[in-house]
Amino acid sequence: MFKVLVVEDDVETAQEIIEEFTSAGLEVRHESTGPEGLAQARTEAFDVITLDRMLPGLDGLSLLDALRSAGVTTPVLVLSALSSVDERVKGLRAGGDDYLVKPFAAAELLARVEALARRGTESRPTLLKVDNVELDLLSRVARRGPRVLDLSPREFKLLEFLMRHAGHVVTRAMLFEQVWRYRFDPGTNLVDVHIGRIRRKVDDAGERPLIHTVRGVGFMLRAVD
Amino acid sequence: MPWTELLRTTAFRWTFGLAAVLAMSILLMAGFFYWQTVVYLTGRIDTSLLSDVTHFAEVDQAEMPARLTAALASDPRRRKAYGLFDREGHRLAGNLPYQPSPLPPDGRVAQMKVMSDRQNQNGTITVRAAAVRLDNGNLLFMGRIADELQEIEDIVTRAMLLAILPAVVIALLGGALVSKSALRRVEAVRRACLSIMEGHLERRLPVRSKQDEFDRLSEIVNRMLDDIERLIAEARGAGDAVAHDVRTPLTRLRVRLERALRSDLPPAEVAPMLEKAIVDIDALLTTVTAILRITEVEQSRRRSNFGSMDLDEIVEAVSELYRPIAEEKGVGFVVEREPAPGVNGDADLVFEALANLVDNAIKFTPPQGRVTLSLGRSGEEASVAVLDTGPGIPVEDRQAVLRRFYRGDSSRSKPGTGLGLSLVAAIVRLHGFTLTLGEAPGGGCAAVIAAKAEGIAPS
Repeated sequence: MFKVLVVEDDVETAQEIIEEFTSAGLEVRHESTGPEGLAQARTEAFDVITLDRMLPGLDGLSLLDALRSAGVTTPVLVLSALSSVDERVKGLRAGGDDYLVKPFAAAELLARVEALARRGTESRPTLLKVDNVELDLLSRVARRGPRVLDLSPREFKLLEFLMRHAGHVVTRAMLFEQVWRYRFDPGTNLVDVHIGRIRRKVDDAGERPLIHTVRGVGFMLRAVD
Repeated sequence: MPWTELLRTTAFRWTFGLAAVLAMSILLMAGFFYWQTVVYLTGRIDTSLLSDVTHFAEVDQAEMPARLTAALASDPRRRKAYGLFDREGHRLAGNLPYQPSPLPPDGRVAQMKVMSDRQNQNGTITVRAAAVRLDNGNLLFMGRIADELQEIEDIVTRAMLLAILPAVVIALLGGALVSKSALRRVEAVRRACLSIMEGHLERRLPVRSKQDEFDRLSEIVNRMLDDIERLIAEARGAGDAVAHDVRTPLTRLRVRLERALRSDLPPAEVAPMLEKAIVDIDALLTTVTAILRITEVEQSRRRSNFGSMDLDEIVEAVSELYRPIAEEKGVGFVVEREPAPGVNGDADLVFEALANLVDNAIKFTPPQGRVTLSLGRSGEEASVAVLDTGPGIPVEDRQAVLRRFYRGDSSRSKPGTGLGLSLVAAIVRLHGFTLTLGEAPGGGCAAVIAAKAEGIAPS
């Protein structure tokens, strides 16, 4: 079970976040001012911190700066109403690990927080394996059972991302940002089409489907038990 | 129109300056004329005087008095002032009562005043004169009255006054006329402006066909007014369009939720209704996000993310992202890349613009159709074109679809916000590029972005 520190001064937003996290089984600690948040983050170990940029007492970026200077490496997700690219870059440069613009869907935040929390624990293997799908990150070869999957470099990256988060939901925005590195709303069904293509390559007729659509949120690669 | 207002005009102040310059040049001209005339006349007097002196110096000394008297007698205009004086300065002959002094007896011509016996003068007259000492010790003095010089001076002064006064008066009158016409035009512009400020945004400043500086200014202002009128109309239309785009799905959503609330429905039927409601809400959110995005790009005056862009790389990335979408729909996707000049800009935004154009092209192209993304050079510009074989955009809609939040009727049936082109237009405007919508071979839409090569200022 992950432990999350939520530093958020807006009562309604905080309540929404806490509800979503709690119902997903996360342990949540909430602080509503900058100084309190900083003190909490320095004295207790957390898996992830979500940090509002505008906080009373000490703004989010200064808090982040102080935290990193103190040697705390806990992954931080910065929440902000400021959406421009510059602000995003500022947030990430100050030591943030992810940046989410308000207003956001609670499911999107949860997926990102869980991904950040897992990142702290995951190893960096050269071979990824889920069910009978194998991804050799050195030779860039993908296999399902004996069958070699014919993937383009981008499709390989996409599958790699899904496998690294196997068993967990990844949102369309996460995929678009982290597989393609783009930061705009691609609209329509762009990500779905790309997923559809690798799904057809991975899940051959008669095989157990591994790539699932999680309605309203995103996708999940999961071994069937 | 009060006179004081006339005096304040630039034109009239310039006229004053011009009149002063005019008077000054007339003065200079007259002065030069006077000076040259005097030099010429003096030269002529001196030459004839010197020849007289030479002539008389050779005359027999004894005959001298008689010859002088004769010469004076044959001078009806009494212009000559001759005198012969002995060593002691006593007059021997001539019309000068006293020996003039001090004139060195060296035969050179000088200007001086002498006593005269002429009754109509006040005793002294101004002469050009020369004197020589004769062999017997007598002094021969020969002078000529130089009053022509005075006359010339009078004539020139009179002429000058006669020329300057009318010239200045004419210049000032002309200036007043010009100023008055300038004031009339200012008044016309002022009235037009007042009327525009009262809300008649369609009014324009008067422009005549003469293309003078007034017309050029007015034309610039008129172009500015065109822009303002367009922006205001767009802002008005935008509000309507947004409200309309939001109201329809909201209404549908409301109906759906109401139906789901009905207690007699089995839970199995409620769930899909709620799911559809969420889809509706997502569509609404997408529209609102797109509107905010356009506003964000439009208001971004800063170009901090600008830098050298590799259009080739961007085109490649766009095609990689969208080729599967086209293939999925059964639309051919062709990429043509020619070497293009480097361009300055925000690579992320330009990618977003191209992505939108390609997304639109695929959306509106029927299966079996083709979308072409091409990069090339035209003159000093890099040009990126997106061509499709869809229905194209009607000529009368081509300007409108680039406007803020405009959505053609035909696009209402398609998924998406219909705001893609507005966003592309905003990005293109931010960069100072141009976006042209035309007809592609085969009747589809051709969208072309032209970007000035790096180092060349956008016009």
